[in-house]
Amino acid sequence: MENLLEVKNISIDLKTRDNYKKLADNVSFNIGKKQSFGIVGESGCGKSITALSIMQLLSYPLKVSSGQIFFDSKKGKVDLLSLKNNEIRRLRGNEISMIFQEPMTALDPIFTIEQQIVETLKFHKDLNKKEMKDMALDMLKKVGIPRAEQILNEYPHQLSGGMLQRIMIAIALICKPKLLIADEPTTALDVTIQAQILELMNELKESYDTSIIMITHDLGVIAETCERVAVFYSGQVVEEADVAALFHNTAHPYTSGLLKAVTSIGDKSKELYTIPGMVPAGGHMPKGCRFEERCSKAVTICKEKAPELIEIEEGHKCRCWLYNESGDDK
Amino acid sequence: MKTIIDILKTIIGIIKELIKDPMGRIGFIGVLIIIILSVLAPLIAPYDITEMFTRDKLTAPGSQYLFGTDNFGRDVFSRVIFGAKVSLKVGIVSVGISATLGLIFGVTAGYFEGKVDNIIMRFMDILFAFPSILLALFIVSVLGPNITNTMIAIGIVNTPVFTRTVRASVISVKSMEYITSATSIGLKPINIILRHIVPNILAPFTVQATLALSGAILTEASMSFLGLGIQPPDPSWGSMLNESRKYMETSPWLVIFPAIFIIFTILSFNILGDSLRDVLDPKLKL
Amino acid sequence: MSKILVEVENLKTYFPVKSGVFKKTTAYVHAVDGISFKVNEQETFALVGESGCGKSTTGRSILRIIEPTSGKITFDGDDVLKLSKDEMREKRKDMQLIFQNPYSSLNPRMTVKKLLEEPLKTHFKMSQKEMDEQVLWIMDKVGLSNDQLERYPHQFSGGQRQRISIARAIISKPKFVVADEPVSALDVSIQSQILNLLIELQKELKLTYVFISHDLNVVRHISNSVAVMYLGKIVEKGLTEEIFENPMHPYTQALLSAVPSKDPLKKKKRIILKGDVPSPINPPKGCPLYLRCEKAMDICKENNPLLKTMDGTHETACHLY
Repeated sequence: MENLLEVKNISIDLKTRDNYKKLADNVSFNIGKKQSFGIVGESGCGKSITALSIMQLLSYPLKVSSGQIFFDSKKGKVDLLSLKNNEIRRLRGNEISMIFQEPMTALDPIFTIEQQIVETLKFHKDLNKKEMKDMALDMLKKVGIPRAEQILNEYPHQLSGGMLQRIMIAIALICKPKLLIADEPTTALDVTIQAQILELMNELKESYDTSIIMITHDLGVIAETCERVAVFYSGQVVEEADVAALFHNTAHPYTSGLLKAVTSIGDKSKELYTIPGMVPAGGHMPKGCRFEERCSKAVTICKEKAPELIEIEEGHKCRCWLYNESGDDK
Repeated sequence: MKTIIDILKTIIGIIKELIKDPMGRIGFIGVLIIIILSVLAPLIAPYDITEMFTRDKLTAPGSQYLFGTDNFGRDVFSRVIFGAKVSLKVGIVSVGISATLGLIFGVTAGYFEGKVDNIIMRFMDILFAFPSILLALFIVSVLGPNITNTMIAIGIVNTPVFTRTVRASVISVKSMEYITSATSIGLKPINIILRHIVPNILAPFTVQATLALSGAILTEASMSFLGLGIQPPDPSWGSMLNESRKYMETSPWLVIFPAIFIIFTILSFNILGDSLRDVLDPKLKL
Repeated sequence: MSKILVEVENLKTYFPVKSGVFKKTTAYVHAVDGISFKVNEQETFALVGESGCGKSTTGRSILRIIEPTSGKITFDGDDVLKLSKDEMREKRKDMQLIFQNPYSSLNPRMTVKKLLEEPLKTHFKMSQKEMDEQVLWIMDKVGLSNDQLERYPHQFSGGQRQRISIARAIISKPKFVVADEPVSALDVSIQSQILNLLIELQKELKLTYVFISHDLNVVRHISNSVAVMYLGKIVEKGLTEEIFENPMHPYTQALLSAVPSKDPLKKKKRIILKGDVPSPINPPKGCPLYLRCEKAMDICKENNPLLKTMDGTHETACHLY
């Protein structure tokens, strides 16, 4: 398989009392090997649930209603969504790992750090107690935890957010997975700790050859850590490109609005740039482009027909009527 | 303060939401049936509940007596339907007592905390330590077994549970920022309690009340079964079970029908309570 | 020369830590550990720092929503800490708070109309007609439409709820508003909307803001003066532009360099602070940054540096100077 992960036409539904809402609509993207891929979008855009769907972590009332997710596993190409419980469990923590936003609640408060790291090893590897403890120690040192021997015996509530996030990363990487999914890993951390963690993740990515999916709403984090990025809006991918192209050759009006809003903060001379209006409420999707109402460049067709995600330049996709397949502006 | 129209609108809105889900429908219809039966009892019941048809004692269910007759010759069907009225009355009044007391004590304990909280909760713990049936029986034996005292007894016995639930809700609501907002606007504590805290604890409170109803009905049935609740000749499902003990083997219908009605009522209230929890809670989740 | 509206002198707010069966106080959390600053009329003074530095507690202590342990807070000539509970309640119409979380700061059971009328009912004797006028006026000012008055908070988006929160704080026409991370919980594209609104309201209604935030970009945009807090103390204070252009305290420098650059082609040179923030329970006697500072010296371990004036209004607390 050329790519490590191929997400194809994923749609995710949320069941309400008598109906359902489509929270992710026909989402597709590919992750390459040893690549850091960013998924950026604001709250409710569908980025987190898409990430959770990869490892079948969605539960009632959320459900993947269509699509496939192909992964280049050790046993060959598999559709992750078709795997049975015991098969997907074999991959979780082993070939694909995930770290979450709130380190304080992602670790079980009643187990020591050693027990939590070793739990993963027990399930996936066949080692004795001492070998597992050595691996755990080694991993803690690699993620930059001081006094690793002591920390092994401590409990989550005794440690700070930054430390816990490092431990989460340790648990996630201990089996040397091919893919690490990081869902807003630094959002809950202070900015000086965030800097530490992002630097750590960049270093580890190099030494472990792991692909990382970095989910965030912070464009600054994307700029610092990712090679390629997909922008989500209202359950769809609206732009996908290499990071430099996204920032300097922005195609979709939402992306450029976002960039302008973010960078204008800090420049006192001008009034802040804003994107007027709000994200359409789930369940009331317009028949045309979902961003049309807030778009300064909207034309008639935008209200009538929904645009497809097309390649406007090599490696640069966009979902907007401003562009057509050959790459010329309309 | 909401007007009556507002309250009615809210209730209708809740019912609409409730019946969307199959379980909600079942619970709602079940409770509705019981309410209709108890209200229309005098109209539906074919015979007078105390009239004894001495020639038809212990008749099996048939066309003349739908549920058969008991050892005194009284029509079981009529008695069972009137029993619904009694059970519902006991349930509602006793839950009314415990809910009111629970609300007052729970809000006081939860809002002021400290010593006040300690005194109230330790008192509730003492009440709670007694097995509920025993406590209810004790109260009734002191006051005298009749329907009013039964309601008082069950009311007192259920007060600690309500107090606990209300207190927990108050403490959790107190930590919400809109309470800090109310303080920062300059409101006095009494206004904060009435306007901001009480309306926001009504949801778990309502669910608790619905579930408590089924418990109260069961307690009354148990007490009457033991002879210390509703006294004959008043029909209550529990006392009917008590009176039919001797005839269980030969005339099983005397046990079956009251039992079915007890089970049906309790199940309906429980299912309704669960569904209500689903309907009311999400609105609270912000 | 601007008049000083609020002056905070040596404010301390300590929280007792109770442990053991009998809940004895064993230690104190030094949430706010002796800070002083002045806020001029119609100015925006920012308190910036990371979580646990005490900025939120400071904001709430000034308004006596949390009772301070000691210090002096002068608002418009009065010593706020000496007021009785009733007097303080009356003063609240002039001193309001805007909250961070638009999801938990509005009573879910009250309509927008009731939420906005409440401050008016509490402080003024107005007829229904007068209240209706005020409500309409403030709805317009914050950019909400009148047909939304009978709706409940859960029917609005985060940005709209924050507008309602702001309206509720401003409707009594206060002089002074503490804004506690008012945009941190909002999406980026909405943040700029709300910040614009706050700036506009300040100009029109002649408000004075104390703006609390951990987001340096936002602080730079909206404030005239800023104080950087760490572990309950102010480590650097002065005019915003001055602090951003010429940060002197090592913590301020690290903070500024930690913010990710928004341009992938311009990677920043980072000052990474090692280790974690120490506990505010019984804080160390020396400089709070001692264990994490690359430039630490022996004196830093023993002696807590005091704020020294560097240049005009620029003050910093560091032994390097």
